[in-house]
Formats: sequence, structure tokens, C-alpha cells
Amino acid sequence: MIRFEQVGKKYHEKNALVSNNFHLQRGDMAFLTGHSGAGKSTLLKLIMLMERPTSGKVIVDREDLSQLSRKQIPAHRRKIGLVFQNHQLLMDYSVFDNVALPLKISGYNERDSGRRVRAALDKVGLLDKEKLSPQVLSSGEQQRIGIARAIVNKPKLILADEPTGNLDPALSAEIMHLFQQFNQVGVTVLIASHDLALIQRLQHPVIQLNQGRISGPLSVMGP
Amino acid sequence: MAFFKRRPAHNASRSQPESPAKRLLREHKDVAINSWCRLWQSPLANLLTWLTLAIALALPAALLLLLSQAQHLGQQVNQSSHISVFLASDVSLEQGQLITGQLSSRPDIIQATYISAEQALADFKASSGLEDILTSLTDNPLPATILIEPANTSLGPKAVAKLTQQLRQQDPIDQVLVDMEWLDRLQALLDTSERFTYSLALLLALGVLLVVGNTVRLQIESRKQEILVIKLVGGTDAYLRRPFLYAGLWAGLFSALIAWVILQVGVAYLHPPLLSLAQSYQSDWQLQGLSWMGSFNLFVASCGLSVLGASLTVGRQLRLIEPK
Repeated sequence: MIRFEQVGKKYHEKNALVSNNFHLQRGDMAFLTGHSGAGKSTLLKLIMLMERPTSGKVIVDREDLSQLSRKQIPAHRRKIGLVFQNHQLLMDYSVFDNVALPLKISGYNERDSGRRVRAALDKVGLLDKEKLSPQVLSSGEQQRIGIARAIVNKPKLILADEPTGNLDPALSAEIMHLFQQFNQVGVTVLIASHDLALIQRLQHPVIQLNQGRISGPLSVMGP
Repeated sequence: MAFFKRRPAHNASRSQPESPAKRLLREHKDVAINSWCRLWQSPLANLLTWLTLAIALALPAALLLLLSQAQHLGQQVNQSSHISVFLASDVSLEQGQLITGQLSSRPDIIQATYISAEQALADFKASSGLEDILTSLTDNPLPATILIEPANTSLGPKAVAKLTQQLRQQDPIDQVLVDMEWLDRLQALLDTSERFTYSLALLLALGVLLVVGNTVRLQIESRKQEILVIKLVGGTDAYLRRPFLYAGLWAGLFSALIAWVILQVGVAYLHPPLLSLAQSYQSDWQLQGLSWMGSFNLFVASCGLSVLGASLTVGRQLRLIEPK
């Protein structure tokens, strides 16, 4: 699903990523860890085409991203569900409208969109909050709305950047459990996180980044 | 998990996307309604913008309106211009009438009217109020006159000039007077006003583009977060551009409406003094308000300029906002 071939990225002559190779199979779930500044976010940005690599090739869903023009970026992003640490919700939209945004962009009509939004909200357990503003919700609930927005389009790939960064351990476990559920039905999931304790418990492959390099092959960190 | 499962066929067909044209139409309708509703979230700020645009539109529109009617009036004056032919003092009444008859039969003259020296003096006495002084004169200082109404003055001043030239060469004619100079001046004045108006319209159109562009830039700035998120979840440029283009369209529509009202009120205000001015020249000329066609042009120009102003800004501004 995601393949990096000799991928490097420089910002102002400073290396953020150095010739990295890895391959995440379709239907896999993996964690991306490393100290802050190790290049986790850069790696995710390359997959989202928020950045272009300085060298090497990024292939997502059999598509070489370097071949995509600026105009093709939106269609590429619509294939990916993205979850952020700070959830990036729009506070002047209702919960429903936040989740419906990707569907609106894809041109769904109101009936189909409403059905999908409610299914996604139901999935994250917030069906009764659809009319509220995200502002009145707790940070755990806000994050779950962010997840509902990421899955509402039924993407084949979900990327999450520190999705539990602001949450307590119980809520974090709950969120990770949601991602595992998505993975069980065939969605490829890549989660950047530095919550090593949680990652170790979950037994998924780990991509360890150290100063812009993947240190060692994909490994399952045992308990 | 049921959520990610593909729907069964009968269900899938129900949720099949509609035809592209229908979808586009629905999306445009949604955006039009949304941007309309957004207008009333800050009505005062919008009203001020519309007023600014309306003034920038009303000014050249008013000048164009006045100009077109002045040109019409100029043509009327031109058409009704007469040539006065003064006969030499030794021409007898019979001779004068004979010449008048000859002139009447020319194809380039509609009418030639003979006014004898006596009649001219009587008319002058009646209209000038100098009866006492005129009565005390021993001689009649006025010559016999033939008033000529040229046929083809609508062909322009050149035709009149040619006729005048020919009349001057005829023998018993002493002097030929035509208001050509005055007409030339009027025409030059109208030409100058026309160019001035067009230049002003061009400048103010540029002003409209800048005002709309700046308004849209501020709107984009205030919705930066929304634009970022939409870009992240895969919104296309066209999708992002649309609400701002509609905002431009609404601005164009409202400012045209305000400009139209300003014009009609202005015409009503100017009408009475202009009417009495026209009447003092025995003219039935009246200042007309904007016609249907004029109103239509005003709305098209206003909406066109506003949407153009919005589209010139929106693409550039949206490129500046990229998720980092």
C-alpha cells in the first residue's frame, strides 16, 4: 500500500529523512515511532503530498506520487483518511458538518452523505452529538470526531499523526482499539506515535525513525 | 466491521452518484445558497462594500446616460439647424420670391421661406421690445431673408457646408449664415465628454476590481483554517474557489441594485431644472432614466466585474494557503 524507495527529504540543506526504504502491505497496521524531530511528520507529509521528497520515490496504492501533478493532489488525498494530533476540527461547523466535509467535497448528495456521517459517528460512539459544536466536547470526543471524519469516505488507507498525543492512557487505548477495528476489516493503518508503552502492548510492526533514518527493518516489538 | 463493508448491489445503486451535470448543478446551488446566507453574517461590512462599488458604478453610468442623451439632443439641434440667406438690399420683392422658389425646388432643401425686409423689421419690433427706437429709424436696416431648412443635415456638417458654399456663389445673395461653428463646438465638446467618460469608467472599473479583490482577500484570510482543512481532506481548487466567486456575484448584484437606485433618484432630482431649461429653448427634450437595456447592461457590467475581481484574487490567495 505504501512503498518508500530511497526516499530523502532536505529542508534548507538539513536532512529530515535520509534514503529510507520500507513497504507497508495492503491491510497492514504499523506504528511509526521516534523522538521528536526524527522525521515522523515529514514521512506522513510525503505520503499526503504536503511535501515532495528531495530524492527517491514514494508509491501509494500502486501510484508513484512523483507522477502526480498539483491538480491531482486533491484526488490523492481523498483516498486517505487523515487523523491529526490537534484533530483540526472546524469550530464554527457542527459535529455533523465536520464529519460530512469529505463527502461534501466528493459531491455526495444530502441523503447519502447523512447516512454515511451517522454511520461514522455511530462507529466512534458519538451519534447523539451530531448537532453540537465540537467546542463543547471533551478532547477525547473531539479526537473521535476527527477519526469519524477520516473514515467517513471509507478510505483504503488511514494515516494518524500522534492521535493520542493529548489523551490520557484510558482514552488512548480506546482510540487505538478503534484503529485496530478498522484494520481488521482490511484498512491499511499507519500511526505515528511516541507512546511506546501503548505501542508495545498492541503488537503491530513498528517503523523506528532515528535522525531521519529507519533503524532496522520492520519489527514487531514484543511485550 | 459493517461500516467499511461494501453495500449490497440494490443498495449501492440507490447511492450511485447522480450524473455529473446534475451533481455540478446541485453543488452550485448549494454554494450559491451558502454564500448568500454568509452575506447576512456581517451585513454592515457587506453593505459598506456594496455602497463603495455602487458609487464607483453609478458615477460612470450617470455620465454615460447624460452623454447619450446630450448626443441625441445634439443630433436634434443639428437636424433643425437653418441656413439664413440675406439678400442684397437692391433685390425686389418679386426677385426675392423667385429666388426662394428656385431654392425650394432643389433636392437638398426641404423648405425655403421668404421673409421680406418689412416683415423682418416687424418681427424684430415685436420680439425685441425696441419698438420706439426702431420706429424712429428712417430706413429699414434689415435685409430681406430666405430661411432655408436643408434636407440632408442628418448626413452631417459636411453636407450643410457644401450647400452653404453653393449658396454663397449665387449672385443676389449678400451673406449666408449658418450655425456651423456652434455645431462644431458642440460636437467637439460631446467628443471630449465621451472620452472623459470612457476614461473615468475604465478607472472606476479598475477600482471595482480592486475593491472586490481586496474584500475577497480578507474573506479568504478569515477562513484560512477552513481552507486548510478542506485542502487536507482533498478539496479541489474549483471547490475552494466557488464560494468566493459567488460572494463576488452577490456583491455585483447588490451594488448594481444600489447604483440603479442612485441613478433613478439622481435623474428624478435633476429632471425639473433640466425640463425648464429645455422648455426655455422651446425643446421638448426630457432627461430619461435608465432604459431596460441600460439597466440590464449595468447589472451585467457590475456582476461581470465583481466575479472577475474575485477570480483574479482567489486563485493567487488560495495558492498561498498550503497545509504545512
